Amino acid sequence: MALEGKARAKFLVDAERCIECNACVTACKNENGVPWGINRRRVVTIEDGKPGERSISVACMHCSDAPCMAVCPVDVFYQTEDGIVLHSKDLCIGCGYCFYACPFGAPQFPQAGNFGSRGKMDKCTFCAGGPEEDNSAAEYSKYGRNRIAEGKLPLCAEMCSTKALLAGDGSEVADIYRQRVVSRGFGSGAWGWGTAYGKKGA
Amino acid sequence: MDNPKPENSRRRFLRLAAAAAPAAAAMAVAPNAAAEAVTKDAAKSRGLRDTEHTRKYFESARF
Repeated sequence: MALEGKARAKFLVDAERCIECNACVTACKNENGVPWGINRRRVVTIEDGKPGERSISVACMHCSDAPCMAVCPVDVFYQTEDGIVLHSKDLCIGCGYCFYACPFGAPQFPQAGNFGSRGKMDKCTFCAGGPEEDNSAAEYSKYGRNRIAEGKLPLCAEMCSTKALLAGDGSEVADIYRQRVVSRGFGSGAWGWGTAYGKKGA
Repeated sequence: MDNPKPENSRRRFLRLAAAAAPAAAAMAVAPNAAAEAVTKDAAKSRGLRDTEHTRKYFESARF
């Protein structure tokens, strides 16, 4: 059943569950044939090896008001009805503005030639491909698999063994996370919880 | 006395020129057509769907 633009595609990482196995990173690279030297997703760990260690998996967060879209001088970005931020590699000039604008460091650039020249930008597509025809060879070679067109969800989240990384319709994802917070009680260790409630370091 | 070769070559040249003109015009238009295709295709998207597959995934995450 089509959700007809009522859904809002979102990623959510449960920092309490992430075990820094990097399966999401590997799954993404394999499923999308991501070029050498590029990771569309990566796991960030803070307080590594110390009490309070937390890890989160980071990629493009498909912002509602995406800064990459705002700064792109050649307007390569577009947003689907579900809020997935996609881009056209045919139009990209590799200027790198989106990389500077993105708070998550999502846009990545292949080292296309000598002297550090950049190739065309590559980033997480929420496994939704690009402007080419759905599931075509051209789409796969530029953007990777289009699992959304197949009625599936991003493989990184589907592969996550502890289901720390959630992806899909925002209301569905929030509902799952809400249930977890309720069952775990206060102080879930959710990202930003300490800052928001004045218990930093707790 | 009759030498058909130059005439043939002239005709071949004229035929080639006649064929090349529309080809050149098509080449000039081609980039615009490609740019149009990008915007047209960008509108296509079946988007997120509620399928058996997604339902199973959400079920597996509820623990």
